[in-house]
Amino acid sequence: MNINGFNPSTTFSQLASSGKSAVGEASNSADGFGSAVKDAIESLESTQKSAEQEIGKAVTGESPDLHKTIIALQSADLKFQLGLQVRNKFIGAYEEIMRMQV
Amino acid sequence: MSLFTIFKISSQGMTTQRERLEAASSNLANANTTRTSTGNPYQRRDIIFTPQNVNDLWTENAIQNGLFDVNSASPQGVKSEIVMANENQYVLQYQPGHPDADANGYLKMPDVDPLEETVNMMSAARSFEANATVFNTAKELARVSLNLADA
Repeated sequence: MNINGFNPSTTFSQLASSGKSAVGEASNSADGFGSAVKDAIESLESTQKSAEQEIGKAVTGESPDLHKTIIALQSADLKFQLGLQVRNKFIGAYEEIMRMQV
Repeated sequence: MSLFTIFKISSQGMTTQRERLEAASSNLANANTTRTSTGNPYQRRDIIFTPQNVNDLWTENAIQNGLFDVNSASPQGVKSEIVMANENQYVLQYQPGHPDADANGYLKMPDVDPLEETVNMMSAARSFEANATVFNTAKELARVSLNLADA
């Protein structure tokens, strides 16, 4: 008696290969997320540095534009808020995973 | 084009309006200046505006990735330049006793119309406020976007 449609070896090999590729994609995307976070933090830092420079210029009287200083400060604040929100979401997801019953 | 580009554009708008106010203040302060280093009366300062590109990092990346055409009608910032009005523009006034008066008793006064400068001043202030309002609107929109993250 033949049992049709069941071929363990191919199914497992397919599963294994698909699992492998899924892991590969996951590690790729993890890399992408990591570098995205790194880029975001670096851009945040440069924004805050430029805001600091603008404050220095305003205090020493080098910059004639008061609004430029305030706008630099607001930009830095908004970008920091964005980074904070991303961090909150990330920590939230991490905590959710840690709370999982194994 | 991001909200931060709008910050940049409105910042440039405010800078140009400050320069316009500077020109008006210079003209008003020197409305009676009859003697400059060249010996002529004070020349009225005028201001001209030109558009300028405001490519931020995002726009540059978008152009590199072919997201949009460089020649498309992209938003433009603004810059300004203070220029001197034409040479030898002055108003002759009869003031024989004045040290700078010529042999016929006529004095060369700067071609500054206080009324015009006052109107320029008010217009500059209103334009500055308009640019500040644009900035505040963009800032509020950014805050609204951030609040989307709240649960």
